[in-house]
Amino acid sequence: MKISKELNAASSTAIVLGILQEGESYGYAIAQRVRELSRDEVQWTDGMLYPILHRLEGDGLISARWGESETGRKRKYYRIEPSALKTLKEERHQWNVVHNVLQQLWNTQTS
Amino acid sequence: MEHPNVLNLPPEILRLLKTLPSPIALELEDHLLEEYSRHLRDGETPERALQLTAERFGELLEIAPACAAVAPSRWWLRREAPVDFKLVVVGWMILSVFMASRICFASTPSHTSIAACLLTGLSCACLGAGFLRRSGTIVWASTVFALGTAVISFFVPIRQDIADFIVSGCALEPILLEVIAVFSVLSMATAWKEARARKQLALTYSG
Repeated sequence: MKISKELNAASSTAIVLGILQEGESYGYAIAQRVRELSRDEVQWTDGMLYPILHRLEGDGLISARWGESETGRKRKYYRIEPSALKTLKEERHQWNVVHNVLQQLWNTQTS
Repeated sequence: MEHPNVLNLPPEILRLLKTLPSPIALELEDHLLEEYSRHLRDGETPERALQLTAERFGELLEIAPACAAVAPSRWWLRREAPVDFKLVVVGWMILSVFMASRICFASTPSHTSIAACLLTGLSCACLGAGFLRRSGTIVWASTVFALGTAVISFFVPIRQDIADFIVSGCALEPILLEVIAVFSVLSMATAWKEARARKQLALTYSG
């Protein structure tokens, strides 16, 4: 089963910030990590990630630096800024609330 | 910056990459190369690897401009920035220098005229800088500035004391104030358009 486009869009900030909280990373690796964590159920087109990264960078939640890949190509690495931890905490709280509400509802309906 | 066609990308995609700011093109290209190489390592033929890469990446014709629009820096490399946006940036910067330099030409420079010219110059510079960064707050700043100058320029023809103050105190011709007012309103419209575009992008890409 695939996750809907709307849900993908709504969860993208929390997912990207969560992955960057694990450590510095770059676009392709972040996209791979999303696939791995979701067992390929979160169907982002990889390109969709870049406007999100650039927006988060513009908002000051993440910062970027240019480094080199193992083959010597230029590569842009992203890392989370301390100011983003508050945003991430809020996102986590909101998603937990939604999760709890739905779980209670569906537990009641199935019991 | 050159973008070597290492992927044998279709000409229309190459053309698009060339019109993008170099940092964005480099980043997207790095991603495409990595994915393409992975498929080759998995034993796909080059044609199939390219097809899978393109499918996985999505529509570059939509993604690339979206990246450029939300990119936080190197605005001057964004060739897709509309003409009115560039005009507003250059206009505010010129106005800021002009207003600050009016102090030198004031016939009777007083503390008030110096402060007025410096403040207006500083406001213009702030508005220009805000546009450069495509900051969200610039919409409100340009609105306030536009309303302020429009109100003052409205009173100039009917209140002689205001006209006198502007001419002798601030070394400004009233007609120039009206030009600034019109320009402020135009830039306010550009700022609103920018804000709407940013909102649309945010809805499309982040929910």
